[in-house]
Amino acid sequence: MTLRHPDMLKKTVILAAILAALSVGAKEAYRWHESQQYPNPYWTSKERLAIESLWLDRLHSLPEDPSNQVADNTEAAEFGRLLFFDKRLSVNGEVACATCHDPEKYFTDGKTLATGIGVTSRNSPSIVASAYQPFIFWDGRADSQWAQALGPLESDVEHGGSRMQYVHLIANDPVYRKRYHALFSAIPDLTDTDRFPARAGPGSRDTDTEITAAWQAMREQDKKLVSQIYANIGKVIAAYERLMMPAPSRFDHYVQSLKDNSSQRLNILSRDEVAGLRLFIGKARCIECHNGPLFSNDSFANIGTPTPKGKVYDFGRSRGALEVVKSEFNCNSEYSDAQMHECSELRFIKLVGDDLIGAFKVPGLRNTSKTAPYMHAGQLKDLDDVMDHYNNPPITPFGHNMLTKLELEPHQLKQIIAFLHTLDSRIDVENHWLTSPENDQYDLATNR
Amino acid sequence: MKYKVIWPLILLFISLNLHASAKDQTRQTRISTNGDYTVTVESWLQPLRIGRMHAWTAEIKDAEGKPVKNAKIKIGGGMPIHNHGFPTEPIMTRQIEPGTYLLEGFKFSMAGPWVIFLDISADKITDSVAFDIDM
Repeated sequence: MTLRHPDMLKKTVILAAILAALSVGAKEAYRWHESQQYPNPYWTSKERLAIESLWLDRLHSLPEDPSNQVADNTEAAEFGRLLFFDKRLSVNGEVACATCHDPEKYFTDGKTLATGIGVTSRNSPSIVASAYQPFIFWDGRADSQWAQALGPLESDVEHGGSRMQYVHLIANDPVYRKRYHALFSAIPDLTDTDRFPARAGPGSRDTDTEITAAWQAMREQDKKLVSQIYANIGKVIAAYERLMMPAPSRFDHYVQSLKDNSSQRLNILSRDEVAGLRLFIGKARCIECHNGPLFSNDSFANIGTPTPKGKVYDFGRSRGALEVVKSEFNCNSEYSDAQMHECSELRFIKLVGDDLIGAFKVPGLRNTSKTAPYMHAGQLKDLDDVMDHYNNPPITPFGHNMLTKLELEPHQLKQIIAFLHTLDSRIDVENHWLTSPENDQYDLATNR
Repeated sequence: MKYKVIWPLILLFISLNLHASAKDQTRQTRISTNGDYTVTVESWLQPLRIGRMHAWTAEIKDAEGKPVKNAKIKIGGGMPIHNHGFPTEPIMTRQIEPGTYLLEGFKFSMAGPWVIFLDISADKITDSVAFDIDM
């Protein structure tokens, strides 16, 4: 069709404009109608980038652990599972790793302070996704999951035992002995009690002097033999812990819907939860430290958490950094399977600085609703207390407090909590790995 | 006639691209405070990533454009607005070739403005240079 006549052209243009306006109007009306059905907020491109940076889909693949040659071995993980739940790995037969790291509680214990043989000075952190953390413990005094696992076993207030005791357990239990042999090497004869006493280990600060005296009396090569088997106990427990990762949560489904432009599925988050997300990445500035798909920058921060009554000030990372460097089980140690150049976290570790004083690990926030109480000594009983702390941070007696006043309204603090609940999910493994092996039926011939 | 329309578009395209390259943080050139050195740093990891270990090369030239050999480089910096340094302790690990050095161990732990300071000493001349990084 040709539109030579000026009037005809004019009419056509007007008609097209009216149709376009009606079409746009109808579309906008439909969008408005949709927005009344469920929250479909407008996110700027910068906000969308921030939201997508928290998406579990963006998590990079599990980093290798060159310090642990059996880190990705399924048989090692199964052996680790047996040890993780085994209360014989304690001085009184009553404490297992699972005592403080209960799978039912997202591998925490719900207590203010971790309690084994005695009471520790720290709250039990979750082990989920700890394979991504360059430093473990609240003060980062271990640089691998296996080195971490060995600490509590010899702590007087946790498992309370000694490495010689645990090595005898592996040597004397037929299932453990067989599994150890299959993964590492045959355990040598340890029946000479003069060379290998029932209990012996270098111990921690207040360890039973009998245990440390027995250790000091041992020959150097025997000590190394025992410490190597002990390190391997840590490595199989680490292979087990390495499996624990959070499954996608409602928040991740929300991000997927944003990516797909699937407005109808955005109602997976409520208005308050979306408002909480907006605060989390904006005014509340949570994302500054709780960044990335695991909601942690894996760093250490002093946030002025109050010292519990009657306790001395905990200097946190400033001590943890020094401890990991001299740890007998660190990445550079003789018990590590890594080459020196593979230990970059240790090589470039920050040992001195105002920002290390009273600083503690920035915890990941996935499933944080399941891990109360909060902070390194469980000082804050619930998420309401946590929000109040961040909104009005106290002055820290030492070091440099990272926090500044947020001046958020009470309903906004509730919205952030609502958002944190959208990070709830299950642990992304088969149930077998989350249950105690007590009821497993084992066939010695097949190890199954 | 049509060229009159096209030229501004071409100029706009070029200027936008120049702007984009000026924003490229993974390779930056700065002149030191007293003008003694021209320093070009380049990240091995591109683009820069929060939470990952970064290594940079630093190419140092003197006022005459010659490579500055066997320099000592002290690294500082962090997030001035938060009053904290790097979460790691970056160091100059070696001279890759005359005038080009390897700086390792940088980590950026959060989004926002960071700064890298280099104190460079060579042939009794010490000067410093700063690079802004917006994570």
